[in-house]
Amino acid sequence: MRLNALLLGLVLAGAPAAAQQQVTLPCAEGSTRFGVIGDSGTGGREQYEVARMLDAARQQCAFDFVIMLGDNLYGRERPSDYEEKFERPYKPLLDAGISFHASLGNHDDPTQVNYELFNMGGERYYTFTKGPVQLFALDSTYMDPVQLEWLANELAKSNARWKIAFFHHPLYSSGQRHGSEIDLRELVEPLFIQHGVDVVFAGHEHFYERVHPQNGIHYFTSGAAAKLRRGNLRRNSPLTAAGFDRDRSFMVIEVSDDELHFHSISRKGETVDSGVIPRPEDHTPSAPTTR
Amino acid sequence: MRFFLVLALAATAAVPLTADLDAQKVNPRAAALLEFSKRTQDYMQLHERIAGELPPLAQTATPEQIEDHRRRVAEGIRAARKQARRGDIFTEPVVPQFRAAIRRDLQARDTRDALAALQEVPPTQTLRVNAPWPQSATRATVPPRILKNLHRLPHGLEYRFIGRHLVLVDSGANLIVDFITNVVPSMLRRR
Repeated sequence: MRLNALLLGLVLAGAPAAAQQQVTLPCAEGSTRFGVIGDSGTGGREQYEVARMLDAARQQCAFDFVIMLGDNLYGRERPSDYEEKFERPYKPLLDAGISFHASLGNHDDPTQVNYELFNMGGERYYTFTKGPVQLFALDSTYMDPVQLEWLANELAKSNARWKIAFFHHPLYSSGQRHGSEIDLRELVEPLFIQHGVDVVFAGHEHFYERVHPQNGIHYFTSGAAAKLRRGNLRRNSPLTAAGFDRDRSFMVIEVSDDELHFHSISRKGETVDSGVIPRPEDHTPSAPTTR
Repeated sequence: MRFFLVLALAATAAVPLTADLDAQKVNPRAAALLEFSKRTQDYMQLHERIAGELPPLAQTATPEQIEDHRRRVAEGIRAARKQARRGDIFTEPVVPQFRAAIRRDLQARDTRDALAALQEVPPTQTLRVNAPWPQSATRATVPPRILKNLHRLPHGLEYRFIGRHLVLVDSGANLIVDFITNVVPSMLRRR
């Protein structure tokens, strides 16, 4: 095993499991559960394999919906591509009534906002509430003042117990190819801090990374639901709390009033990372407890 | 009395002259931006009118219906703007303001930051007004700090970069509406 892979292994919270993963979520009655996929729309074998594992996770601990972190359809976007790169791989989930809620990435055509199964309601950015969670889907490819104003207003209006934002470009990243989106962070993060956003999910980097809490906010990158940038996580990055860049991955999340449980799973069913984030009453930083 | 009457008449006579002077004092930069704003609004009104003449897109529209709707809107706009040329919306008087805004932003960054801000911009392609956004070109993030300093656009229009060029895009119809070439310094974008 290469030394860097060994070092990365040390930061992984969970040991690789058998081919069929055991979902570590509490699966408690009345909680809100959802899946997270990023950079998924290749139509390739790996996307289908991750999709199957996502469905296997659902069968162990049912979730209601999936958030998509952008790059939902790579390359051409003909009607047949919607089928090949979305409807077919996720058919078992769609058939089970799972709804998908997409955000746009740099490879996405903006007309995706009109596609019913992406549940964007014709908008590049939108918000919806599930149980104690209000989710804010943003378009990080075009963060103009109008979207910023909308975000500030919606966050200010929100009384949700948990506020979760998701979009394509990570504000913090140890990726060697892209790295942190500093420009975006300068404008968006102050709003997150001011209005108590708890957790942020992003894609774009084709690996998994959990960043040490920044200004009280927990940042996850999960952009390997089909593509992989193997070995692209910067080793010894001070940002990384946990990371995985050896295979494709996705996440499942469970939220109750007071806790958010996360579980990142590889295409082969390995536990990549898992833990629980207590909801801070005053939104001060809190380190997650990892399993 | 006669003195005051003469004074009053002189003052009245002077009014149009003052108004003329005021008219001449209009800030040409503001006037150019106002004209830009008007032209973008006119464009979007045209878009809305053409889209409004088509059967509305249902919430349950299939990808085929979405694609067909967009194609028909784009065809309608192209037909209505057959004579459209580069510079129709980014008019000559307004172009220097866009160049300056982008230059100011990039100069305020260190080279690494400036390069990072534009690292994912797709390489230069041949651009043409009324042509679709190139299929091979990603919609790279427009640096939000630059967006903050550019003139606001009506809903449906976007600024995007391709190579060193700033492009005005109709995102709904996927059309290039206008563009300004080489707004990004060559040292930051060679392609």
